[in-house]
Amino acid sequence: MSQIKNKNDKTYWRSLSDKMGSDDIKSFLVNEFPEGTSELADTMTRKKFLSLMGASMAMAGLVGCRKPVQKIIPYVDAPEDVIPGIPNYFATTVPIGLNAFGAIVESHVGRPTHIEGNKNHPQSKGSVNSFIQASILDLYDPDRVKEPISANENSTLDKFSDKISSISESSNTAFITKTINSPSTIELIDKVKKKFPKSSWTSFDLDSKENQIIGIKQVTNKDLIPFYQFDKAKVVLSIDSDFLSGDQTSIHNQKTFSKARRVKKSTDSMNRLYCIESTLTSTGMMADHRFKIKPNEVYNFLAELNNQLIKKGLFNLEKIEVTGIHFEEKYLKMIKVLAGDLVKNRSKSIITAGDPLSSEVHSLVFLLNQELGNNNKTIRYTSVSESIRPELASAIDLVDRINNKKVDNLFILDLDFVHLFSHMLKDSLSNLVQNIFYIGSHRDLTSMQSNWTIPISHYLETWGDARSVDGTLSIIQPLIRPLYNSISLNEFLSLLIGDRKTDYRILKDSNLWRLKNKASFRKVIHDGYLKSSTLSNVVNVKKVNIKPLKNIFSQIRKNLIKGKSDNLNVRFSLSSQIYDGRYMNNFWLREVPDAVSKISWENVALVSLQTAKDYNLSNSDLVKLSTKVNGKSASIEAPIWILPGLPNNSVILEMGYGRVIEREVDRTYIDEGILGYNALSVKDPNSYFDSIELSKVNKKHPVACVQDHHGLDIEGLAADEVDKRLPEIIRESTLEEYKKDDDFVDYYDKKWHIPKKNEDIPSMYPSHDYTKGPQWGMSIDLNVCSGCNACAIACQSENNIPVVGKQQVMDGREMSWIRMDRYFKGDAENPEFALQPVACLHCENAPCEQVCPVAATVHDENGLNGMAYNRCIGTRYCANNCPYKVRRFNFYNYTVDTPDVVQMAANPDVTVRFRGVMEKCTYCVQRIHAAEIKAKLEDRDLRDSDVNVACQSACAMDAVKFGDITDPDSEVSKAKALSHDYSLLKMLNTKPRTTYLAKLRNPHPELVEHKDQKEHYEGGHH
Amino acid sequence: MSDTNKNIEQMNDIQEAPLVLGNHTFGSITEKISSITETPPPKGWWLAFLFSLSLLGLLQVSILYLIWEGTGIWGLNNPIGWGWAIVNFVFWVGIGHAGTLISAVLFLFRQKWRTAINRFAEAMTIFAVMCALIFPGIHIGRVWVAYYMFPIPNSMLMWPNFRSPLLWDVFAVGTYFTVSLLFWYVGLIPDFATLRDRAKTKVRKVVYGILALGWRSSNRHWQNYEQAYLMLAGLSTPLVLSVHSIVSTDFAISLLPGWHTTIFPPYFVAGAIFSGFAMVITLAIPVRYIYGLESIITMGHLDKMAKIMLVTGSMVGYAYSMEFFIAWYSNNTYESFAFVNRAFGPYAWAYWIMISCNVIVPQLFWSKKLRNSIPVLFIASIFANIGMWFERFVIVISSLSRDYLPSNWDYYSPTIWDVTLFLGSFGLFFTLFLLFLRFMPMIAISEVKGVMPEADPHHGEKH
Repeated sequence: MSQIKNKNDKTYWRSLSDKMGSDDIKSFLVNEFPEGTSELADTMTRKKFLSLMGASMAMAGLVGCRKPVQKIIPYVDAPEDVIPGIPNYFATTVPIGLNAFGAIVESHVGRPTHIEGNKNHPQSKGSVNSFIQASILDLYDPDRVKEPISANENSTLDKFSDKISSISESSNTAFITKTINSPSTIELIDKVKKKFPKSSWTSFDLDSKENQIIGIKQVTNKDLIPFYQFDKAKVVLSIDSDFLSGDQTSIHNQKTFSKARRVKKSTDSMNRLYCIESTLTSTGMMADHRFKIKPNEVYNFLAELNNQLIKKGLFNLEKIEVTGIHFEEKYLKMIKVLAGDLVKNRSKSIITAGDPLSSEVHSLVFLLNQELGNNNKTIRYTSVSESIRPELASAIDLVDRINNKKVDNLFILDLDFVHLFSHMLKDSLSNLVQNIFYIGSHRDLTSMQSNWTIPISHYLETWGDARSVDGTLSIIQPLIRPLYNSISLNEFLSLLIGDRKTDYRILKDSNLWRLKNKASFRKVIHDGYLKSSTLSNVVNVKKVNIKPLKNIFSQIRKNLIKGKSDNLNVRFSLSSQIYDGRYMNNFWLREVPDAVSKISWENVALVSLQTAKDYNLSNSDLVKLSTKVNGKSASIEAPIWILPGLPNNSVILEMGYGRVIEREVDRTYIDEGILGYNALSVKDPNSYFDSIELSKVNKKHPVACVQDHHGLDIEGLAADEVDKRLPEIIRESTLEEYKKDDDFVDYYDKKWHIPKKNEDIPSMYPSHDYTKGPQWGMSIDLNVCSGCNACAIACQSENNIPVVGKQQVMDGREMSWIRMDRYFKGDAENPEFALQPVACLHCENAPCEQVCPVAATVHDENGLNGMAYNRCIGTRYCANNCPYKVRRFNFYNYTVDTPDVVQMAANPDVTVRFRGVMEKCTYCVQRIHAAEIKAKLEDRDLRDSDVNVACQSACAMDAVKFGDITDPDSEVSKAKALSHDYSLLKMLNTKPRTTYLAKLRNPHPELVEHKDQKEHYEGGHH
Repeated sequence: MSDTNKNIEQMNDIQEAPLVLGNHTFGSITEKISSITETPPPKGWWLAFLFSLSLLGLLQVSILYLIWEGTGIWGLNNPIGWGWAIVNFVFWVGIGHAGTLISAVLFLFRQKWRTAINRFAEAMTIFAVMCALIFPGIHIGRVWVAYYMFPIPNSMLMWPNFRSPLLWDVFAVGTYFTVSLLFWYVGLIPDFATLRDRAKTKVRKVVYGILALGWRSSNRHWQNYEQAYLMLAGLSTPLVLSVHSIVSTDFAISLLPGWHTTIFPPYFVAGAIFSGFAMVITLAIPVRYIYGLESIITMGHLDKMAKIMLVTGSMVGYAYSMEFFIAWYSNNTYESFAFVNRAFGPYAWAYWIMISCNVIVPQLFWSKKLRNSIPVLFIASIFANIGMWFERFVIVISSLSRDYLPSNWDYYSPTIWDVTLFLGSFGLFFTLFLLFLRFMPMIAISEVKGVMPEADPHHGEKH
């Protein structure tokens, strides 16, 4: 069988005929397999012939796979073979940083197309975030490295192996990795360490919990990270922590947070979220009270809070003397109220601090949580001691050694080292290190400087294991054979020790899984994770005596800033689109607008309105930001974008962009030269903020922002109108008001003389008969939507929505079916925020249907507003007449040059639309039909739970409910029956099937400002 | 002869001025008009023709590139699904109003002065409607299936959606075009016969012979002809009102603030007549000058057309103010914002161009002196056309750019291809119009004769 592997250069296949084309296989079928074929052929009867052919065909399937054959086990049901047209679902695991998420991957005829969360996995609970959702596109990335590369030429693994064996053990060898939390990989690394006894090992990630771990270790002497139970918390204080979308446990956080946030009836309680931020995040947009601070003011805040808590009775804490008054009266009042609120909700509150904050902050936060009785109640701690975690000091040390030419062999394991550290290197990496070995996915800067680049397999191509932060052990199961001549990290490590085992063997032979018997291993593969390991790393922390820990308080005190400074600060953050840069080539993530700034394709320098005024800046102005890193001056140019709600005198820069990747494929509508800028070049690795100098470059750099398409500074006229309009569009109230008047959403309907709720507006036309079930409908809870974009990416993946490129986005032609509307409320300095996802609302009285001259958009009997792409001639009249503007037109043939391999990511159940055709949300009609067919085959009625639409599955906040509205017990009917359910633009009598649950805020009564100040909304603008 | 003149002079005080000036006889009229098609065209014609032809080439390129690349070459985006193409469509349909109005409605109202201008006004109509018809055809995303819009029996058993105003457009404009073309042609038959009879070359004989359909000027022919002409006039008259009413429903039927307005049908018709007459004036002034037709297309004609422009321009102005009033009176915030936004929003510049050209400029025509000033007339008529184009621009684009949900809002700017297509449509229009001037009698010879004093044996006396 090995000759097949070598001679047949096709590494994947889809059909038997595909494979049969090769002579190898034909002869193989005749001569070798199955035994006895040749003899039997002489006395062939029809029956025998058929059975034999059947057998050969079935087994040819096995032959096609290279040895060793590993069975992968479908999650839901195990069909005997792959049935074209019916997808199979397999459990696998997506490792990101310290965490790992259980996923269920939809596979069409051996081709993975869509990722959803594994319902049982404790870290995903059925949902995904946008990174996981989009990671399927990385598998089909046409720009992946396809062959081992040596000295800019394609090479082979054998040659690489030879090269490795020639490395002398005494030479200075250094390894650098990302965060690794895979037992089998760590086991292998230990073996590699033995093989290279003098080697140094370093781990680095931009998204690092190092400070947190150190901080907690200072107090507890253990490597712990907090594991929040937001569902048990009534009061949450977030200190510069984007726990809802910028954290490695964000799915878990969203799941639990939304439970405590959701309100169904006026007797329900709702958590209260306080946010102290030096930037603006999804979490901040969700806050009931948000206060912006400059990054270094966090110590002052903590000191004030600490002292207030002592006043409220937490006498164990040490007072931190604050001289002078730093914060405004308003802030101080808030801190006082907050302290009271926290103390009042002892053991039912959470204080969470952002990862980049310094270790003493994390120590203090731990102590505060302890004194508030939160530890082990609302906050559990999990041990991460078994993982390989980023250590900044050792990374800096490595860079120093490289600079001093003390490293002979550098192994870079799957991180773009040059991108991360080029500003700290004295010379180009290739001049500093003799042998550079890189295993990575792209021909990036690191690859171009490396002597060897080994392509790394995507997780969907590999066998492996991963540990989640809570300790759950999960199996990474491949969905497809490696598309290219790539190997997994495990295989690479195994190659280093001269083993060259396959990743499956490595996994099977690893200490953890070796002892598992066949059935239980099979069960783990089937489930995707080991049930018994759930929460196994959760530890109970003992109460710590604060007295010996005085130094923590004094350290905070040392860091207090005195007096106001007007210095311009820069604050670095991770990207909500490309994370730490690893999704740089993922066009879904590049194009999806940032959750907060709504900018797509690039990063910008975000500043507050006041800062923009101070420096005389307007949107898209190119500025030069300069600072000193390591004593060297460094600068970057970046366009300015004004974002209300940011601290003044602060510039927010997103890291990860500017990663240069050599691209093989030119795409007409996607300008791949757009990189953004590399914020790391002005970042001191030790700090997430710094002082910076800003000077204007007299140039503009156009920015693609989807909520500022009009491109004009909104004039007073429009601002006033938006002000009037938005309370009607986004209906909101406070919990307190809602308890008094749970019909508040009706206020605006009454204004239009609309009859009572659930009563129809009179119409000239008789309405369609929508009484027979199922009637599909959706409910979106604005109260819990954090705007994290997971739904938008899920929709893009499920429905083959094209990527259009930056220019087209700037031209207002983005295709995303879900538009995440973002609005600001209040003054531009301290605004409140509201988010509203809007996709096709499937109006019963659809205005689009009436105006289409060719009847290309029509209703079906189940209430779906359907689009017949084949019938559509593209008059765009439907889009004009849609009051929600949710229809998307294919102005160009955006898929004209989608590379073949990217086409493999497409869902075969959904048509790829040609240019000139209108498209929009279909309520995932393909899923509805699949469920209908399934129900019919099983001879039963379609149940509400049979259909889960893509956005609904993805949403970790469970904000989206979908189902049969004629079934009073369905989730969606229950949601729609709530008193704060409302229809968008109800007075138009479009009768939308998607309705919204109004947003509720839960401000502390003592902090509610009197409403004499006019409420002021602005549409997507400042 | 002198007797007659005296009589006419006496009657001038109480009667209308004569419709044909100068000492024209029947023969000289025939000679004057026919000779234009028989003698080589003046230099000006050639210059104009070559220029138009190059614009026509531009149109061709613009359309081919559009079909090749897609509607993305225009400045359209997701809220603004209709741009210049639809603006141009409505603009040209509007221009195509005057011809049939002049020939049919004025015919039925026995407005004899129409005879001097009806022929080329009708030609203008036909060509303008042809220009208009390009746009709905090519502005769609998939040009190659445009035929889905027609009720053609097919294997899918699919009919067009009869509830859609775009489909009504297909029928309304299609009918209007067909009837206008027939009406024009029927009117041309006696004149084609005249040209045939005067033809000196074989080609002219054959072509005009075929076109004249065997017209021999017999009494019986004249009787049938006049009945047919009357009937067609009767048929065309409601079409004049219907076509632009239907076009306006493209907007009025929708629920977009700024479009959803019941005033649209009459307001569009008034606007169309306004722009149509403006275009007739724009064309008539150079034509009568170049071909020396001042005695046939007299200042009196221009004066009357200016009066119609004044009336319709004021009607349009009334509609503008009524829109505002209703928007305010309705207390519908979306509606009122749409109009306030028009006047003071990002498209205010377009709005005020529209107001100045359509409402303010025609007010000049209260003055007889200005009505009789050729430069004033010419410039004002061009302004009216600019204004009417901007009216459609304001309606189509400002409404779309800011509708219900503020997060949808966007701004529209045309691309070079929007502009070339529009210029190109003028190329088509003028190419056709110049060919018409060259090869067809631009003034209805037989009808003009009918309104000359010689045709009235009773010397204007009523009996």
